[in-house]
Amino acid sequence: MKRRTKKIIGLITVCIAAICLLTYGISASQKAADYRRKIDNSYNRNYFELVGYVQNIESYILKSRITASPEKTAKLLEGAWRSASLASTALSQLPIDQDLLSSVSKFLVQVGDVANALGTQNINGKPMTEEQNKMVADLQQYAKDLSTGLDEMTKNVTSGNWRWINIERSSGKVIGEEAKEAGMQDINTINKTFEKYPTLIYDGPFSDHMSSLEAKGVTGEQITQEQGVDNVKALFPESEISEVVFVSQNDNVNIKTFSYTIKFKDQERGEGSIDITQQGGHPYWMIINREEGEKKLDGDQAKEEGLKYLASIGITDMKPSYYLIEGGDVTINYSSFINGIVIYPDMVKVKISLDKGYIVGYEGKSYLMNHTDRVIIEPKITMEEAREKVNKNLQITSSERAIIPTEFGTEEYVYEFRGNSFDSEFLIYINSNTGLEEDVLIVIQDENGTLTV
Amino acid sequence: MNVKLRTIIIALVAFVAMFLLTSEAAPTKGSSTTSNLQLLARAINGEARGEGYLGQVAVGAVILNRVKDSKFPKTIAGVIYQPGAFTAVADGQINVPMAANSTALKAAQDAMNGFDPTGGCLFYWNPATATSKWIWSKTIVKKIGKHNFAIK
Repeated sequence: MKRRTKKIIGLITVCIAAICLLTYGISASQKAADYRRKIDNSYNRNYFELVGYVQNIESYILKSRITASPEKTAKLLEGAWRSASLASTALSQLPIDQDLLSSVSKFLVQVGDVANALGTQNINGKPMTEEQNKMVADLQQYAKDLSTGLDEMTKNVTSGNWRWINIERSSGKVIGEEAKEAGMQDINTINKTFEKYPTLIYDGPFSDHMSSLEAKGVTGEQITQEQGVDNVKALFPESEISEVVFVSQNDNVNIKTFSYTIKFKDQERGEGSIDITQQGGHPYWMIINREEGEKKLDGDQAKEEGLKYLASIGITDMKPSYYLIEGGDVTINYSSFINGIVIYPDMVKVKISLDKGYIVGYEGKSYLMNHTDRVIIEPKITMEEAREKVNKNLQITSSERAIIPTEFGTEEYVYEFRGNSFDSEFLIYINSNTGLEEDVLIVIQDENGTLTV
Repeated sequence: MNVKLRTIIIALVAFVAMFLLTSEAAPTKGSSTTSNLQLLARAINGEARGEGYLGQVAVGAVILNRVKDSKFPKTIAGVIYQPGAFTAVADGQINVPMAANSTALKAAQDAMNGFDPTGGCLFYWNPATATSKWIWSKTIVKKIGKHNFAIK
């Protein structure tokens, strides 16, 4: 081939390659810009929804304070709850560091929770107290302040200079310090509004009293970590244990504990970890990980093994309630059963392996928080009177007295009615003092156990 | 090396580069419907794969503790997918499906059944790699495996 032709072919090849590369490059960067736009649209949507819902919270609460009837108050507070829920969800989708807006998140969750609790109270005919009125007034003010803060932020978001990517890149920075990017200042200002946010105590699962409930079941004297080793060894037949090793002392939690690892002589028994309470040396939780073999035990045998274990740690008068078979183990829930009353707050879970019947798990937080000697209050209404309160569609199969936990750390005395209707099984709880229906649960059963929702 | 050979090599490199730069990442498998248990197991796998069993249950427990805390989203999916919360979500490991007999799924089951080796913690980090001043300001409760666990 002539030298010049080769040269031309070479040149053309390079040009074609360059053009293709350029074309693909442009196309790829257009795709990237497209994706970026979609993400930014999603952030903008969530931001503007947040702004709208926060304004709704404010107006619902304000209206609820001036309306004439408790029923209408309840309805308006329900609106505030719904708006707060939606605002929460919108906020959680923004790329703002969790810690920077944790106080706003807390406010949105609590305002909804308070609204729900007070709404229910109003529906049940109980009027608001002075304190509750003040709480609502405070919350309305915070909703207003948040709204004002967001208004300022919205000016920046809609200014044309806003870039959500700058917010994404700011993640991990401490509040105030390096927040020079546009938009971070707005977020800091909103945060400052919540610096004086009060502690709220009310009947709801997110009330501030929930994180500092007293652990009623933690009794006894403070033990040392060496004594704890003996406590742990005592949980198993002496022949099984090779060593119990102290791991840590845990003081920064509600229930102070000692952590240990458990080493067994037989490798097949697995390896375990356990926390026991510093006061009294009670087991708090235990997890033993092992390979399970072929299933040999049936449900009743497993329940018996669990009861034997509970007796060995000083927990008596327990009745199995629910169970769940997962892999080669079964996890059984036990509740206190005293004087014919099932006490659900005093609940423990025992995990038993279905090949050898070994105890491979224990979970006792609920029992440690709630178990006390209770003075059984006599019911104001009889079982028969309570039965009348149950929906007539329910074909009742059994009934019993019980104590159930509320979502906010208290207990209620109830009658439990189990029955069938609409192709489903239900548990209905009627308060034995007030006759009001406390709760309805659906019972779901399959070959692996029962679940209530 | 003569000019022709050099040109051809450059052209070949350009073609290869072009394909590499512009091929889109294939959609990850397993992103179809995920129950909460499966989602939790995937998060545990993404975040604590090299950890012992206890460390895996602990990560699951932190996620569930966040669901119950007012400062975080109120659903498991909300907590897991909160922007910036978990690296396993940012880098796509969340999409690896977990088999029924996997350790991560077993750990997720224990966490869902209420087993909490952390005693209520809401945060965890690897002290060997974390540099954020914010995370280090949290109150540490205990260390499990290579993670510090903190409550507030």
